[in-house]
Amino acid sequence: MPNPYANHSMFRRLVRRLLFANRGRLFVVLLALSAGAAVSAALLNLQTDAKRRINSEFRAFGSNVLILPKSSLSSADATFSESTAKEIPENSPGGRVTVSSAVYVAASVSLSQSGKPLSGIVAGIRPLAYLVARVVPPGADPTTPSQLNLPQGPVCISGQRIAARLGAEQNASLVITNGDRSESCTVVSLSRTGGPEDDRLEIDLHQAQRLADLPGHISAINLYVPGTPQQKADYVASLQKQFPDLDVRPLRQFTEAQAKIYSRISGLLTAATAIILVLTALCVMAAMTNIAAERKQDVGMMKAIGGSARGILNLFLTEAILLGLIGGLIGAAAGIALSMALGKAVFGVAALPRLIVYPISVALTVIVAILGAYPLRRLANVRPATIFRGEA
Amino acid sequence: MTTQPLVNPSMPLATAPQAPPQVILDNLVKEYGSLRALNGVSFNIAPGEWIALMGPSGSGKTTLINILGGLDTATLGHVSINGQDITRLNESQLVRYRAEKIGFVFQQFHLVPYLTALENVMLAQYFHSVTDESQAVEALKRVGLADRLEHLPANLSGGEQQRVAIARALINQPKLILADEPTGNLDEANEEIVINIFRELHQSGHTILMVTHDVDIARNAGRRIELTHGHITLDTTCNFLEAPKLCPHGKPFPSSGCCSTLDAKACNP
Repeated sequence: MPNPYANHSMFRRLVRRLLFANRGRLFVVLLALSAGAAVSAALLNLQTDAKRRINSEFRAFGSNVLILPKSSLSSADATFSESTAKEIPENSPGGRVTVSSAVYVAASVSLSQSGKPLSGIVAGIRPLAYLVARVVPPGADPTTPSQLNLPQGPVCISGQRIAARLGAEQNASLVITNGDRSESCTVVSLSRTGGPEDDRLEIDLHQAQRLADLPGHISAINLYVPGTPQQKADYVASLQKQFPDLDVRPLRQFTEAQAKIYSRISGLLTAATAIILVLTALCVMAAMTNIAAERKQDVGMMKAIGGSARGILNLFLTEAILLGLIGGLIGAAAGIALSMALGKAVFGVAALPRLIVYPISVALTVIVAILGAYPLRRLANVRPATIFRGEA
Repeated sequence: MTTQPLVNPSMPLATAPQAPPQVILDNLVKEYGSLRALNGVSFNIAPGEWIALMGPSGSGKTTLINILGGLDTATLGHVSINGQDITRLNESQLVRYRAEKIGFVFQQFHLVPYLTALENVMLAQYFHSVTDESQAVEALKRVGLADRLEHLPANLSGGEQQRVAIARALINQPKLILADEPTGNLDEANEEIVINIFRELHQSGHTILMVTHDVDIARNAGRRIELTHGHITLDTTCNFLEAPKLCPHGKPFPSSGCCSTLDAKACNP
């Protein structure tokens, strides 16, 4: 009695024979598919990682959303409760939100040893990690002050211009006074942004609250919200709903610049990936055209002995899918490794391997292999007599 | 070479001559653009008949075989095989027709070069229905290739390749065997082996239509049809195997000869 699974076994046998019919050609097709998969996987991984990388680069510039009291537009000293910051949702659709509270005080600043006092804006900021994030040594955890190699006692960051006017340098001790209240700090960094921050001194929030005699009050909350412009807009809208008495303001200029840069990089990488895949498909198609010429008589014979176009096509498509799968698995793995190296070259830090890129690259390579097998698909539909007459 | 009987004992024996025709060709026309390869060809084939189809190159022999085998379509006319008009079949019906009713043997063998002898035979089973390796092995044993099962075509002689092709053509027990110059690429020894196989097939009741240029090969057939420019110019049914060695006038029988009226002229020019 015939084995009902015999045809599956014969199918596998035929596909194996097709694959290894010409090892040199197999190597060339696999090489083309692997190279295409490697480059496309590398670009896709860079593209995915670019979002995170740009978010992180922009995060260094500071906040992109501000929460202010509604009255702040008309009254300079309007404040609200510090506990508001604790009610802000930590996670947005685009990722984890960074929150810092601030209070602004007009105070007099001087060097601790007989310095000439200068009037200026002092910003009290919390958490400390946010304040010192810009002076974190490589490898240190910004949330652990002991790892930051900071001096004992309160620390502060001085804007470049105010520091120049005071004659203060890094590690200088400053005294800040407001009326009969006074605080001191050590300058851990001089910042230069080209903006109003250069005329400002940033100190710990609680010191600033003591100076202003506003314990438990803040002037603003600075947020860094990651994600796409739409994700940010959604988050801002939900915050505004949560805090109807406050004014939640996205810093559009910043958000739009970030979106534009990401969109350009993403578009460039997508276009490059598409071009690579088209070139790969053309290479595979060139090889498959040769294979079709070689197999012309075989296809004619298969049809003559009762092979249907579909049955023959199944054999060739399975062969193409297997080639795409093998080429994709090898190439995509190599491509992700390549993207880590490229990421280091472009951004200075290796790109993180994104697992989602791997199946996508393999699937794209399989599709490219199927498209590249077009000459074989065409051949399967030709009449056998046409092949035997040499007209196909 | 030792060969086992080619035919399954359960197969029917040669049908009596008066049986209804197995194949009917009715006014068959095939045109390639302005060229008319077949021009109103009509004849019948009885079950179990062995016909030698002869004629010069370009006379339409291969075209006729291709249409009969469902590899090509006729421009006009009808071909009926076992009561089924194959000119009315669509592509998927033609595929089944080729798989179930026709056994092809080509001059160029047309074996798949990357499949073994056994796999080449099993390929026909695969496209027909279900593969059965033991049956394929048996078919190859019958054509004397029991020790060549795992050989690739490149490692077989021309005669061996043609025997694989015959085993492949027979594996699905077709009603009609179409052979296009099956000995055209073979040396004399292999030609003899292959023709012996065809004799056995004929004796066991298979209907064979064989294109050949070789008169000696054609003598094995019970009937010869000659085509010239797409027309039938000779259709004779004498039995070549039992042909007289002398013409009626006592002259030697011509090498191309037969006992038809045309050959009578050759005996007495």
